[in-house]
Amino acid sequence: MSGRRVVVTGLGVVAPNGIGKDAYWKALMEGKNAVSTITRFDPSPYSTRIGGEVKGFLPHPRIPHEHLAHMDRAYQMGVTAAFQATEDAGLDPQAADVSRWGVYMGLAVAAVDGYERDFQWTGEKGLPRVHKNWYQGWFPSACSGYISLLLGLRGSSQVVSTGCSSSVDALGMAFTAIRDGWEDIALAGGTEAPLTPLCLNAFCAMRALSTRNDDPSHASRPFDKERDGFILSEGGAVVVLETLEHARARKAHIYAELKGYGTTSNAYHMTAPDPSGEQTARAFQLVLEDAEMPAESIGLFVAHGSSTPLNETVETIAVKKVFGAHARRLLLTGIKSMIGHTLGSAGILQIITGVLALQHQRVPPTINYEVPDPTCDLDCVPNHARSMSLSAVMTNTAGFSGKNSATILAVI
Amino acid sequence: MSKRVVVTGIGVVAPNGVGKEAFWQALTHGLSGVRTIRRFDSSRLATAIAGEVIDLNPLDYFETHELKKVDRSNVLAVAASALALADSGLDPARENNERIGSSIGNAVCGIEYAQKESDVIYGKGPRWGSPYLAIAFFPCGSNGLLSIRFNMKGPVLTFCNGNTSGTDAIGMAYRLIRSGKADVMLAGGTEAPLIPLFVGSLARDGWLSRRNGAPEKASRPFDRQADGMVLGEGSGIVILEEYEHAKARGARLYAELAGYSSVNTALDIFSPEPNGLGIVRSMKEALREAQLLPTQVDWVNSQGFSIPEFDRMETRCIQSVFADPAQAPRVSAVSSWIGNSIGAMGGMQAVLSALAMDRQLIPPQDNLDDPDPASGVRLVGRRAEAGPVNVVVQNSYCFMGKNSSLLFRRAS
Repeated sequence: MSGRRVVVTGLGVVAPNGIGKDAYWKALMEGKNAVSTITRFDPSPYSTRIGGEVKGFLPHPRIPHEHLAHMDRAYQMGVTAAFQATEDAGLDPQAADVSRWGVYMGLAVAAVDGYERDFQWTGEKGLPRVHKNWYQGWFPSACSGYISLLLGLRGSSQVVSTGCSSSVDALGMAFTAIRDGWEDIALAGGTEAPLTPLCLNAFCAMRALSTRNDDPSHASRPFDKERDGFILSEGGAVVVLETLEHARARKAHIYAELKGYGTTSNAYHMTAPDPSGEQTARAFQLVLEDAEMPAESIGLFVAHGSSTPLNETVETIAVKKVFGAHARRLLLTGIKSMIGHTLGSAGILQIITGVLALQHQRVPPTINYEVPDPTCDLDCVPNHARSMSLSAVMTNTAGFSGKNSATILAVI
Repeated sequence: MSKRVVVTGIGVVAPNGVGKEAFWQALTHGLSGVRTIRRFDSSRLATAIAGEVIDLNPLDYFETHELKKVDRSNVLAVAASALALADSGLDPARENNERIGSSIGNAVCGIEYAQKESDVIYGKGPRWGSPYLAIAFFPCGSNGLLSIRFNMKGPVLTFCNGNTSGTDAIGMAYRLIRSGKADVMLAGGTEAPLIPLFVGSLARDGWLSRRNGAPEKASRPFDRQADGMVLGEGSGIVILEEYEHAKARGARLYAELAGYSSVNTALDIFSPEPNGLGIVRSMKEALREAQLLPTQVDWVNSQGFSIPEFDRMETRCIQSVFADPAQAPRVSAVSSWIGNSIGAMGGMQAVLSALAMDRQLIPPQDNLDDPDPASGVRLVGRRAEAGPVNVVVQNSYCFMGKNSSLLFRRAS
């Protein structure tokens, strides 16, 4: 695919295992677990009582107080990550022509933290308790809107919602927008704060979550035979994308090149993966074609690895289908083993992991790997980080209703 | 070389008519869709009226047992999409469905289902919660259902940008076809925001018209007696198709989609940007992309909030882009008939852009009894006006500074 080359020049992370890219990377390398008993509310009535909370989160000091009062926790995390990413990239929007600086954010659930409180005040009796313009704080539109507003960016401002693949699709839209000349710079990422009673219960009712309540630190175990469901987590993350030319001209630090994006849909079931892995594999093929790279050039595969019984089995089938013999040499890492599943920001956290792996030439482990699963027989970097020579990384993220979205990142 | 994109099918579920023919007849025979709300008892709310869809029987599209799993916004989307596909004559089962996707706008998610579930879990307890909440509530729920029902395996994307959601969903779908990533995209929006909490709080906060005694007179963009927005529900879907693909199967070509732009003003959450930095830019960029001049535009398919401050911003922008009064386009807003269905609005407008070109008539506008003299644009009254309709600009804008325009031209 011709067009302008797009590179990653800034990273912002608010994750359960670390705030800021350095803390995040250090925790990943140490294989540190971030899953614990939920403390944000009393989880005792629910079948799952554990999650990945961002402990000690403080909204970025540049978010004005009058906005903070309304802003849902999810958006506070997203905006904070966006500020971090622009600072990391060394960009000053005030000193630039920002008419083609876009914001593309993913969000799976909308701002449950904000609206859930107000949903309890139903009927005219409760209405006086609902604060003025309450919808401003939770409308999904606000997810990118606050970032555009507070950073003063005047390109497109879009929220993409495709379930758990939201942030990858948001990044995909940003990527094509820059490549095809619609934007010069884009902040791309996602955010989610789903740890509320209503949202937790929705996933409990679906029986999608791990119920290993008495042992939270070993609950998220992608590729392990005893995985029993995912861990609901919160977090926000944003990357700065710009053209290679622009980054070089301003002598920016270039983390990696974003080489390709591909997305497919199973058209199979709202919540269950297609056991054939056909469309998952096709997403990998599409992204390889988009990047114009052979499968053998990929050294690391940052897996979706949600720790659900079917997911990793299907992911393994799809990887084998596309990578053939090279699948045995590929490393598959499952970072959700440490941080759980942050839904709308899950994909961007995988992408940032890929970017940092290229930067440091090191691969974070899949922790909690104890019992091998014969249906997941590829090298998932069990329990300990590894050093290796890496030139390209593929990420795969599965979304609600059978979405598959993949990206390729490479050293420049 | 970028591909050309044409509209080959339309489907609409509107408060004043279901299906393109009923919708068009309603508009040209002066039938408003704004009435006293029937869906719940609105008698004690400050605003008791809305654009509510009353002619749709969900059982035409869902089995009874399926209806308990879906939100009303999902039902509206499925109905409009089925109508659009039937209208296009396209059968996804006989096409390469990996090249068919969907792009849907939705601003407030499955809010009715979420409210119901919130009442259940906080009232009766978590054990009574539905396993279908996530499916019904997530913004991507409608789109997931569409991908499965119509067996679409290409890009499936949902955009949550408030009032610009539908227009952005269509614009992004257009870009995917244009760049060769898909052959056919089902694109538009769906929304079902009519719950007591939302209507009640918007009314209390002063955004909604309180003309409860004369509902059909309530939505009056560009009129001096306008006293606020009218909320609406519905779904508008267009089938976008790559030109050669459409030609090869002898499809009816309603219009060519030749330009899209989306920008942000980054000024304020609620106030429109007074100088039209947003919508002036999006109109100009859409025109530039289509290589057309402002003097070639016949109709501006306006959003028209029916909030004087916003309406004046929009007319000021239209004046600024179409500066030559002798060749100025006509302007009308379909929201005057059906209210503002937020994330579905852009889809509704796009259906009308296509119909106007098909019928070669400029669609009428209701309630322009006392046009704001300051508007300075050529507003259309209650009767459709003679064409030609060769070029249409469609505008959307919303809170959070988002502004988007689409440019349709006659397909040749």
